Amino acid sequence: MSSSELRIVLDSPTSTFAPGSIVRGEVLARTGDDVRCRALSLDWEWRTHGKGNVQKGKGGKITLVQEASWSPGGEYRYPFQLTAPRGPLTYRGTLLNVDWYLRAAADVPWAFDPKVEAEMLLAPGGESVDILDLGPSWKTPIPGASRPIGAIGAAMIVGFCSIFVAVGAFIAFGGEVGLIGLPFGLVFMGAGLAVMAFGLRSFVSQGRIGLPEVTIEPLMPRAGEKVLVRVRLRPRSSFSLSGIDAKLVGEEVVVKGSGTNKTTHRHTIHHEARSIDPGGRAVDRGAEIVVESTFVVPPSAAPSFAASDNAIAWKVNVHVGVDGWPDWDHDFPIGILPRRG
Amino acid sequence: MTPVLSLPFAHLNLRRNPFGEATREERAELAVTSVASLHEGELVQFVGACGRGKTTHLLALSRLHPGAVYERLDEEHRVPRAVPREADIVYLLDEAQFAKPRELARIAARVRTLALGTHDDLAPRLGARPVRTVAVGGIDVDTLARVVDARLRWARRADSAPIPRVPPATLARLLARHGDDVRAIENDLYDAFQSLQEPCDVEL
Repeated sequence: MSSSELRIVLDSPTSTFAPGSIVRGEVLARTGDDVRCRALSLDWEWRTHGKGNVQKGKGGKITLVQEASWSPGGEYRYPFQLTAPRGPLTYRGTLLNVDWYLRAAADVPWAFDPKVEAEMLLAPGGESVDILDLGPSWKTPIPGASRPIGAIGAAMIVGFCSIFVAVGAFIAFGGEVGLIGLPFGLVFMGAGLAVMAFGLRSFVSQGRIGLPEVTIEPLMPRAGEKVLVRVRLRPRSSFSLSGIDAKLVGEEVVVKGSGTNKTTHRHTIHHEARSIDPGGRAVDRGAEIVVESTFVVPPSAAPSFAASDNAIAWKVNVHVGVDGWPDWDHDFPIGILPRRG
Repeated sequence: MTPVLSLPFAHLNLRRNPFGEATREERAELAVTSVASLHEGELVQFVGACGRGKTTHLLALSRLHPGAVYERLDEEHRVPRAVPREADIVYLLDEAQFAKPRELARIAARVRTLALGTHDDLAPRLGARPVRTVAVGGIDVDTLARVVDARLRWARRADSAPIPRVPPATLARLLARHGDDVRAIENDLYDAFQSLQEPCDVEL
């Protein structure tokens, strides 16, 4: 049985590299016996760890040597260099961490294959790449893609919820189950109506204030940069405006478990709210309102990341308050890029 | 906010939060159970509520039976899709209560060595085969200490430097708070370790 030992040593004392930069290091091998190594390879991958399900992504793999012989007392050095990946960047959070790992493995016949793993930190810093990898599920926000629900969306909500209401009514009053079905049926009906009311509130509000036109520029700012939020209203009928607010929100969102044991956990990493119109006035039908405000993304804001069970999600929320009528509220996903190093 | 980068949890001499999620393979290695290998032709069911260790038992069996097939059902996936074709492959079916009775009977008739994880007693649905039922739950302080130690070893960075410890008094308080819900205990310990600044005794 081989007693070989491997170690990874990186040139950088902090193990930190910028995307697109050159990662240099060595794999060191020592052994207590004479060992024939068929192949020594190095691969790298990213993994999430924390409260959410572990997810990973491959970086690359290289073979450092084939058919090597190691003797006791010797230290064998195998230098390597590779290009640091485009992302995702290393992240330290409360529910979520994202890390890169270098793994060296030796193929030793008739013995336990020695392996070693070392972290490699990927951080912005004069990177030579223009496009960062923000994770396997990342979708670049498209202007206008986050449109609030229109008539078709409203019809779908009504249709879906009506099924709940109808089933509840049948259970409660259909007579097949008897009185015992009444409370269950009423709960079903109540749930259906509540979901319908919640889902339609913005649509109902639009009937009075019109569909607000929200412009966010840019949709993918860098940390430390400004984001303009402009809201334009052309009311379909007169209404009393109680105020227009906007928020910039960043969250870690992770999923733990699956099936019946699946839970979603959230942790707010940034929350900034401001009033962009104090309201308190009547607005006439057809009278246009255009208001805007500028947020500054914090310089240390975590860049966006998206995998199926783990995400760093940023959004702008816009809220239009209407006296005596449902308010209008909508989230607009944005992406945050890291500061240029 | 992303702080200045350092190796993850290096301030605690750890590589990760010991009570974060693990992959299925890691959970199999971390499993602390008294489960023994299955005899050929045995049918066993592990019965218990959520978070009590049913999956842990099945994953421990997966380590004892290399080549065993593990499958987990849920509300959206009620039809087992990975039932081994070869009768001599061990099949480990988690959340088996989601499967239809006819499907369970079919599996019990076809798979020679079978272990189930379930919330409900499925013996009546398994045909004429004798079933060994193991009630899962009821963890004590010593067993919980072994679970915690396994997690700390898994997460440890360097052998030569100290790491945080979870004293027996803390374990006893967690058991008093959560009973035998190990998942809830691990959630509390996750939050505790997130806020530690240095290796120390964890007090909750």
